[in-house]
Amino acid sequence: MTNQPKAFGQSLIGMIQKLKMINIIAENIANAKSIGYQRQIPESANFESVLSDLGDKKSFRDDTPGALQKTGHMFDLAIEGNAYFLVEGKNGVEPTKNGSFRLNEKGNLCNSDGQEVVVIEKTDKPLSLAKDYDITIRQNGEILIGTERYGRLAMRIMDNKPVKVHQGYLEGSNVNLMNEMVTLAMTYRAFESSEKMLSMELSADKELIEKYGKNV
Amino acid sequence: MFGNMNYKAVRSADNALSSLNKTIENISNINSVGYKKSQQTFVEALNGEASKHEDKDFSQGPLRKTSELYDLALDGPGFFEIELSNGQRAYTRSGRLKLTAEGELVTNEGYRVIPEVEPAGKPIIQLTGNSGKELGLNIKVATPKLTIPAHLTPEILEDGTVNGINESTGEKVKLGKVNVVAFNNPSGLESIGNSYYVSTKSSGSPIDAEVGPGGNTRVKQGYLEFGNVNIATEIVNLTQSRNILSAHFKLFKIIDKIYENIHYTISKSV
Repeated sequence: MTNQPKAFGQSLIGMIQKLKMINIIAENIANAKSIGYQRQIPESANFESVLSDLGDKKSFRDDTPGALQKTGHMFDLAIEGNAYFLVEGKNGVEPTKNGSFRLNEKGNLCNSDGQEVVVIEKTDKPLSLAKDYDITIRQNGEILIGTERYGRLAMRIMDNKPVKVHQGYLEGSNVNLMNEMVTLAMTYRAFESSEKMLSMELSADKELIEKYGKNV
Repeated sequence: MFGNMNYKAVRSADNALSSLNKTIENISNINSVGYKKSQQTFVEALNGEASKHEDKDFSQGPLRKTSELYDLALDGPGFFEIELSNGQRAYTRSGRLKLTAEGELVTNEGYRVIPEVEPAGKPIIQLTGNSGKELGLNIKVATPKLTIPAHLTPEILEDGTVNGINESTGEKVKLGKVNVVAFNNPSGLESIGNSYYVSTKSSGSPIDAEVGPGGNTRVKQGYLEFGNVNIATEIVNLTQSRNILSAHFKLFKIIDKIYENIHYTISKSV
């Protein structure tokens, strides 16, 4: 009798947790075709840790690489390995896996939002990427115009493993639709059982009140 | 906390649907002259929502021989410059040209192709309105005109030079040059339909392309450039978009069931 009220909380939190997971799965499915998207792992944690961070959304990123897709574009770049390109964001430098770049009106490399890509070790010569169609980007990130060196792409490397840049490729998302659908179905069943539990609790309470309430 | 879940799923289903539409548009234009396929890429934006970027893919389409005198194709980056009926400049890679009655090169829709002619447009100075004491002066620079006389056969070289050949004497006369321009950021061009584009702030202003046998771009007479659509890629995209779309429908169903369950549980026990 003493721990009976706690059951409400448990099944409620279970339901909220499953909703959170479905929310994450929805995000993964929404980004199944986004370039360089890393899927979030919908995970359920044990009861204590759930209680402690019920409010804030915390999820881990799955950093397995996505499949490289050949596009053949000069400025489509994919990183093989655990590393990120850097672009100039509003609040300083931002890492990104999305290597779908183009030239802006000034002739600098930028991403599809117009944020310029950070290029380091630039040569003193005023070389411009514009108007040149003979641009090679080497696997170490060096940009060559013809045979002359323009600079090197800045990258944030997360581990010690070697990193390669591939020109003419884009990294797809690492979302596996099959996987997400299975997780979705399982999460929904888990939600359902939490919900059944809550419903049983409620009906037990109802019965209790009705039976004993009649005698009073 | 979960109120926007449904909204988010609807938004991304909408994205999947529009990417399906783009694929269908690309497939239906596989044989359109000068068509450039539009690409839709998705990037994760705030809160896991996928944001959509759409741009044109200006990669080279296949050139096919037509042997027509006025069919021009560009092998390499660049655009022909044309003048719309309102005087605005537009750019196109579709080189299916024809002659007007005056012998001027125009596009299939009748828009003038801007040539480079020597001597370049001469200023025409006219005195106007001589009424009273005021003297008006009207100066206008005529846009250069390239006319191909009827008795000459045109020969268009790889650098865009238009020569007229007299069939009977074999004499060659240089008539002018077809203007080919390039852009820093061609994906910033705005499409106005019929494979015509106008420049925008993001595309930058047109710069002269390196045209000629040694340059990046060559003008090919007697060829047409067809759509740069690859049917295999499009079919793969089609299947992918369809799968993603059906995953969304499944998601809707489950979100709906969750709401149904919640309402059922609560309503039953009250």
